Amino acid sequence: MEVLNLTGEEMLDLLGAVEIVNFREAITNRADNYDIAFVEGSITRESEIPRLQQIREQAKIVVALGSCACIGGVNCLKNHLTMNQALQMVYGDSAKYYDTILARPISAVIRVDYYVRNCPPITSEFLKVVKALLLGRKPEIPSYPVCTECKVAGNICVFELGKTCLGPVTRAGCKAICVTGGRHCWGCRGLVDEPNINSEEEILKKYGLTVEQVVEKFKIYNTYSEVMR
Amino acid sequence: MENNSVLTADKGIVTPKAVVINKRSFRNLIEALIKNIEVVGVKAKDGKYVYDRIASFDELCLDYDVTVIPPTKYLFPPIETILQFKTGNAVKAEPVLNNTPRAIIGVHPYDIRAIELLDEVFIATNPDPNYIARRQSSLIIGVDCLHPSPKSFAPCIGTNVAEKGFDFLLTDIGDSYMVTIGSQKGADLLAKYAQVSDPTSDDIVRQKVVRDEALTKCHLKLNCPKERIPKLLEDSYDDAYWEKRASTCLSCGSCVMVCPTCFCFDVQDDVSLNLKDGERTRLWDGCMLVDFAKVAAGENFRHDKTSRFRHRIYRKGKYVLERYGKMGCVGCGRCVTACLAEIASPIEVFNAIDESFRTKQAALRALRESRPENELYTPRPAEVVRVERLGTMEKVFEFKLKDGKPLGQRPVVGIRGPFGNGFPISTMAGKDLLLGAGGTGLFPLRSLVQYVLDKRSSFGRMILLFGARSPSERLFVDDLAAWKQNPDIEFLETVDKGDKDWSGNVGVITTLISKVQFDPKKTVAVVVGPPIMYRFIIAELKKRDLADENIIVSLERRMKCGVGKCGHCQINNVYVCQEGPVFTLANQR
Repeated sequence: MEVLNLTGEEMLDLLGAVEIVNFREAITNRADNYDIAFVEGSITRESEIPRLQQIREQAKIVVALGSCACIGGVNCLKNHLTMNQALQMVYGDSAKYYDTILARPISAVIRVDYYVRNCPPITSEFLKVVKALLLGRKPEIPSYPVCTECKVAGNICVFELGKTCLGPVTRAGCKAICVTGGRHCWGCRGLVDEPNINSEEEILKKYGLTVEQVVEKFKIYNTYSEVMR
Repeated sequence: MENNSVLTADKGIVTPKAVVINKRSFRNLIEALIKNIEVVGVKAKDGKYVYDRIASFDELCLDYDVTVIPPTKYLFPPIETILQFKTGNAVKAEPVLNNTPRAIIGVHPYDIRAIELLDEVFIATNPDPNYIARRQSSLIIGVDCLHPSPKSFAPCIGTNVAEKGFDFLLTDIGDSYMVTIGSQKGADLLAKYAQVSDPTSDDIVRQKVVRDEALTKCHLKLNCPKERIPKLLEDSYDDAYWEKRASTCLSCGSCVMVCPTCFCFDVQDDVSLNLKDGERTRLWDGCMLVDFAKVAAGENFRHDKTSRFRHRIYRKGKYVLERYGKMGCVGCGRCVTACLAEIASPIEVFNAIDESFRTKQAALRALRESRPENELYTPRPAEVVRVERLGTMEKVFEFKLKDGKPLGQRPVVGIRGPFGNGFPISTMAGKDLLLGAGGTGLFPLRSLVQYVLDKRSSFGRMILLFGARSPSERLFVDDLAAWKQNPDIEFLETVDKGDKDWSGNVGVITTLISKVQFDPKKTVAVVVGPPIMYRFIIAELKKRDLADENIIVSLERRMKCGVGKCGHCQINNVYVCQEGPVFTLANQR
C-alpha cells in the first residue's frame, strides 16, 4: 500500500518502466502473466500457503515487501498465544468460522529473491529495488546495523539520552528515521546477518532493562527470528 | 592595519603570527561572515555538541568539549555526488564538484590535525578533486580546546595543539581571544572585518596558563611512548587479547563513523527510474562493517569480528602512520563515547597490548633466568641426504645438519615422529578386516595392508575398498595390481569419474560396500579418507549393523606442530595429533 504514496512523478516513471498486472488494493483488472511479484503481509492461514506457492511458480522473481512479509513482523506476536486464544481474542464468538496458523514470513513457505524491508516499507528503497531488477542487478541493501546510518545522520545516540534501542543489531537502510525523528529503533527491518545478540542484551541490561524487558523489546518485530526461537 | 599584515611568507614557509581580538570584534567578524558565506560551527544539542549551520553568532558555542560528528564531514561528506551521467545513445558523464564558500568555526586542534591527515590522503597523493574543491573553498577557524572531554587523550598523541592547518585559531583568554594566524586568507579576513592588536606580555602569559590548565584536565595516560605503538602492534598480531576484546563488538561501525581520521568510502551508481540518467555517489564506509572486505563469490577476507577490530586498531596506530606519516588517531575520544560495547578506545587497547607484551617479556626473562641459556635444549635440524638399502629390513640413512656445520664427536641424534597413535592392531587380531580408503587415505592403510599380509594367519578375511577421484589419481598402481591377483586380500576399487581406458567400477566408494558380504559380529572396519567420505561410509556401515567400537577412522587435520601446542587440530579438548589421529567411532563421540 505504501507504494501508492509515491509522488505523481515517481508513479508515472514507475508505470513507464513496469506494467502492473495485479494489485488488489489499487487496480480492479487482474492478470497472472507477471515476471516480478511483490508480496506483502505474513502467512497466517493454511489457505495462503498454496496461493503463495502458486505465485512462486508463476513469478521469475519474488520480492517480500514490508516487515510482515520479510520477517513475520508484528503479526508474529500472536505466536506467543495458542491459536485458539488468538482466534477468541480477535473474533470472539465468531472464532469458530475462522482458522489460523502460527504467523510466519513468506520465506518460511517459499524461496524469496529480494527483500524490501521496513514497517512501513520506504518508497525510495522500493524504487531502488525496482531499478536494480530492471537493470538485472542485485539491489544494494545495507547489511550493517542502523547505528552506522544513525551516526551518519548526525544523531546523538539514544542510549546517551537515557533510552534504549535495537539499532545495534537491526539492519540499516532506513537512514535511522525513527531516531532522527526523536524515537528509538524498534527493529522493524529485522536483524543483521550476524547480530551480536549477547552483546546487545548486555548493553540493554547495563542501561537498566530487565531480561523480560529485553525479550519484550525483541518480540515486537523479531518474534520469528532465530534469537527468539 | 598595515602593522598587522601579519604573515611573513618566505619560500612558502608560513610563520604564524599572534594578535589579540576582543570578543565583541570577533562577534562582528562572524556576523559579517554569516552575511557573506555559508557559516557552520558548533552548536549545543540535547546536552551535546554538533556542527551545524549557524544563522547568528549567539548559536555558536566555542567552549564545548567535543562534537558528536567531526567537522571533517564538510570536507569529506557522508554522501557526495561525484558524477552525473546519461546512458543510451549519447553517453555523457560530468564530474560534480562542490566549491561552496564555507567557514567552519570552532575547530579543535585534534580535528585540525585530522584535517591535516586528510590533506595528506586526498591532496598529497593521487589528488582528489572533490576533496580539494571543498578544502580550498573552506575557511577553518580553530579554537583551543580548554574544556576537553574526559574521554579525550589528545595530549598522549600530541594532537592537543595545532600550529598550522587553519586560517586562524583562537585561544580564549578571558575578555579577548589570542589569535594565531595560519594563512593569508585568515590574515585578510581579520584585516577586513576585525579590530586586532598586538598581544601584551600579559596576554601571552594568560594563553600559556589556560593551555596548561586544559592539559591538567586530560587524565588518560598512554603507558608507553607513542613512538612505540607501531612496533608494539607489529609484535602483538597474534595476541589472544584481540579475540577477547572483540567478542562484544556489534560490528555497528559507530567507532569509524564518528572518527575524524577515518576516510574509507564506497562508490555506488544510482540510476533514475527512467533508466536514462543517474549519478555516482561516494559514501562513508568502514572496515568494522561485516561486508567491507567481502569479495566475489561471497569470500570475506576479514570475516570475523576479531580481524576487523584488530585491523581498525592497526590502522589507527600503524598502517596510516606508515603510509601517510601521520598517526591515524588524534585522541578525540569520539569512538569511546560512540561504542556501546565499550571496546573501541584506542588508548585502552594500546595500553592493554603494551601490558600483555610486558607480561610476556617478563615471563620469557624469568624462563631464561631460571634455566641458563646454554642448557636449554636447542635442536639443530638435519636433513636426510642419502638412503642406502642393505637388506629387506635394513637401511642406512646419511644426513647432515641444515646449517652445514659438522656433527662433531658422538652427537645425540633425535628423530621426531611418527606422531600420534597408529591402528589398534591388538584389538583387530583374529577379526575380519574391512578397509576403506579414499584418495590419499590409501597411504596409511597401505601400511596396514602390508602388515596384515606379513602376519596373514593372525587375521581373518581382509577386504580392501579403494575409491579415487579418477583413474589418473589412483595411488600405488603396482600395489593395486598385485593385490588384485593376491588371494589373501579381497580388493575392490572404483573411481568417481572414469575415462576412456577405464573399464572398472564407476561411482563413489559407498557403492562398493553393497558389493561385499561381511559378518558384522566379527568384522572391524578401518576408514581413511576425506571428511565427506566418512559421513557416507559410516552411515552405510551402520546400516549393515557394524557397532561403533568396530568402526575405526583416522581423522586428518591440518597440524602445524604435531606436538599438541598449535591448536590447529584441536577438537574441543582433544588434540588429534596427540590423542589421535586414529579413533573408534565409539570413543570419537
